[in-house]
Amino acid sequence: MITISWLIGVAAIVGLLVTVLPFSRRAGGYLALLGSLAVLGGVIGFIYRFEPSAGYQFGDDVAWIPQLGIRWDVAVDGVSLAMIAVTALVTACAIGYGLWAGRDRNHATYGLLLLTEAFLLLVFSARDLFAFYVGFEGMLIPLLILLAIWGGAERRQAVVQVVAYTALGTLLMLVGILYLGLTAPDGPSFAMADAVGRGPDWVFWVFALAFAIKSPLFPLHGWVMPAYRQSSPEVAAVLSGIASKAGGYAFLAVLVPLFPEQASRFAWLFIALGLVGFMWGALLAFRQPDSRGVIAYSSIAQMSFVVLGVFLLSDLGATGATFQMVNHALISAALFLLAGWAETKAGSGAFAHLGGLARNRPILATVVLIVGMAALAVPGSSLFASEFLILLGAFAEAWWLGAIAAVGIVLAAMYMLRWISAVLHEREGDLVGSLRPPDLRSGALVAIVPLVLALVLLSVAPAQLTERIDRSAQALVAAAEEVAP
Amino acid sequence: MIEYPSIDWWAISPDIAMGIGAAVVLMIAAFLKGRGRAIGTAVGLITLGVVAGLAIAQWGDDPVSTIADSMQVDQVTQAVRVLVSACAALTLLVAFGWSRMRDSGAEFAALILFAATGMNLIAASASFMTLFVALELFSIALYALSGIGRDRASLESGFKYLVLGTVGSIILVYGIAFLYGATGSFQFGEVATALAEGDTGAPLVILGTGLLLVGLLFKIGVMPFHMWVPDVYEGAPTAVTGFMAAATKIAAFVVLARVLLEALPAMRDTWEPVLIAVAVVTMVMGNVAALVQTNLKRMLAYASIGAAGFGLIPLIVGGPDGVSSLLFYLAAYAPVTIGAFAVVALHERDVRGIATLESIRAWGFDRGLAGAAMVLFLLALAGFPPTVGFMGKFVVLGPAVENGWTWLAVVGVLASVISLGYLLRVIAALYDRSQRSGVLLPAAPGLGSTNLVIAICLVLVLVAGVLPGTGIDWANEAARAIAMTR
Repeated sequence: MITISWLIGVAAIVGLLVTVLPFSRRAGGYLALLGSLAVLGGVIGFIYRFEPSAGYQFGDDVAWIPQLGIRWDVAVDGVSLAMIAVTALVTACAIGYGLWAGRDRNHATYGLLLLTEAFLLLVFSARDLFAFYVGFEGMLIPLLILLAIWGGAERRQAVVQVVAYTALGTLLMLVGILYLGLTAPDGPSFAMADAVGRGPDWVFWVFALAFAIKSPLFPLHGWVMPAYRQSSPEVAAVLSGIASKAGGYAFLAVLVPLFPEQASRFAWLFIALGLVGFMWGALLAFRQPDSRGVIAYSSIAQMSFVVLGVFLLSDLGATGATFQMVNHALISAALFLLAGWAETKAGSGAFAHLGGLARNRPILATVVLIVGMAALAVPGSSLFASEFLILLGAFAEAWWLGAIAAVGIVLAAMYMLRWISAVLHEREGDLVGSLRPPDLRSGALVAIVPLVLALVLLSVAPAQLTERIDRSAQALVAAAEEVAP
Repeated sequence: MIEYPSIDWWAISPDIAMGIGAAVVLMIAAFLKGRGRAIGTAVGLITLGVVAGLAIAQWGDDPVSTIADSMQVDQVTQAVRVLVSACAALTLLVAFGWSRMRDSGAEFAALILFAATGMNLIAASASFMTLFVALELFSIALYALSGIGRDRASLESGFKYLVLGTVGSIILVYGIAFLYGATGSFQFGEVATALAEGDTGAPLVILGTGLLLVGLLFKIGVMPFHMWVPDVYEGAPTAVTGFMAAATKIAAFVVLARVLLEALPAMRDTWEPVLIAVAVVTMVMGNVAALVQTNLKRMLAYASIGAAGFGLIPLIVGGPDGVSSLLFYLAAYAPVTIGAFAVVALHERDVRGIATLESIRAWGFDRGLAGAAMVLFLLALAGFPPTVGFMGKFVVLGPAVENGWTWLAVVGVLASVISLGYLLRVIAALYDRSQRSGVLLPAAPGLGSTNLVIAICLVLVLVAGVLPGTGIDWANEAARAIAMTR
């Protein structure tokens, strides 16, 4: 039977080969695409075979470094499955986009995207803290290299920011993991199951710091802007679409179950930060002068909302947060690819030079409008469903909490509408007039459409997803929910 | 009638073999003059293979104390023999195609073998006499090796190393003399017993311990005794630099562990605070100083200073866990440094000059394997998974956290965040798309063996990073041999 280890192995080996061996750009790109499609195929198999009541599935558990009590213990529950599915889809689309839309890429860029996927799959399936850490820190390598070598003009500052924030947070977590693993009662063990409820407060905080930076949670989002602005479109899509989910997922699947007591004691803080980040990100998104700015701040807002959902410590909140992460992954990846495409063709992402792109470009207008509608959570869209779940959870917690959160959702509608109108309508921008960017065609379209289709599918049948995740989500927060007063 | 001490010939056979090999290679150098390069290198490699083979054959033997208890051959000794031999062999291969090897190749091989002999002996020392003689043996060989390039920089490096190294040795001898005065013995065990029963606060003892510590810290190149490291590493031929950074560290750290844990356990209250201060300052400042370097060898020199500071953590932790993690860390560090310096050596031959952040611009696109390998070595230096650098860090920090040195572990972690600052600069320069390098001259001759070393190190760094279990087993086994008190 194919297990998650196979998928990680395929992504890692193909990724490494494509990165290191001297392929041509096209050969390397197609090989990487093939690898990512193979992983996607495996994940689709998982989705069909998944048994919601069976707990962790498709896993392997073998001794890895027995001297230190480290096991290769990977398995997939409903929440993992959702994250793995979007990871596979977004990676395939990102590689496809880079392959068809970018002439200046190198074969290594595709391999590095695939390596990122391998590390992310490990993060989303690890049941051992050591393996989790390898994925969590390891994914920085390909992303940093992609940013440092193929980033925009100000990539150096961006790299410094990313390193200063994420590496710091991640490495401090290493100390916490060592503490948990080596103080296990029956000799060293890094199994997550053995770490439940054992950690002192400082370990909780170093974990929370690492995850908050990665998410990013207000006020630790300083690295996000430069990183999203300086990355190439497909890397920005991976960064905001799936790499950031490592943070949100880890809050739900690592922090809360491992530290139920602290999670419940400090939940108010995370809820407050989530609320502030949700409002603040939305307000800033409304003021941004360019597409990437809007998408980046909307990402901060959305992920803050996810953290809020997680720390409601309820069935509704956890399911909603997972669903929200899936939606946001698809939406922000699609938005970054679209924005990047417009930026490449029109030479700028600034609204001052864009505008009027809808004229004579029916396909682009349609795709942007669908993604935009999904992003502003019109009733009936999948994002509406997930936000609704979190809102319900918030109301169940306290009516005023739900009321404030609802205001944030209105703000989200405002900045998305502004973005759509600034890009598609209004007066024709000077660059649009002079450069005459073509309509969205073939390559880029093929790369973006799967994301849009997935959004449409989720809007039509959200229950297909929620029925697979809700048991797992409930199980993850159960212990913390019990502790809560 | 003079009583001669009994000698366990089997236990010291690797050292004898190494010495004979070195002498033979020296003869080859004398008689074959310029034509001795290939033969000298071949004999050198065979010798190193024999030494490593003998050490492996002795693995698992009971610890032996021989020649009137002045040498001890235990698993730590065996581990050092294998590691140093491997480093020396890789160094010979890196240097093989180097232009200087054409007229003094055999001398080079002989000096490397002499240095390796000294390193193996110092790791086996059980008395301060052995320690000092072995230290001088490998130091003098290294002085000569540093100056063997005969260009200005190399000669300056050799001379600087000679002068400063001698000062270090003198301080060390002073410390040994004071300790001898206080305890009446050179032998580690006897010194330890005398100190445990005597007055550890006596000025003579404190002074002796302090001077001894300074002398040894000087050799491992930690702050504030690091001044010689950047200059010597920069000027010395690059193959030699790699050897110094990997093998010298192994020998010096192991002997430091022996001295502190076998001879001076009673003085822990004196040396522990010193080591803590030195470790913290070195980890942070070494990496900070590396941030501003543009010369690649200088940058790697400061990185290795920072790494040496990190290597003090296991000594502070002490115990079998500490020694085991120290051994694993040193072994993990070796292929990373030798590999990184091998890439630098390759680059120097490509550009016929020194390696700087400027000269390596876009070079990674031209030399696929070397470029990718360099990226991996740099990531290993920064301690990223899944490289062996990460396992080294993990194995060192583990016992530290376990034994209540969490804050020290946090400092170590912060230092590796700083190190990312310069390591990523190198990666970004290697693959700078904004300009073409234009440096690629027609392939320099004799790159084959250097490329082979890079490939070997690459495989080691990855495989040992993903599957470190066996290495940890060996380190644990070896660590049990050191007599330890906590």
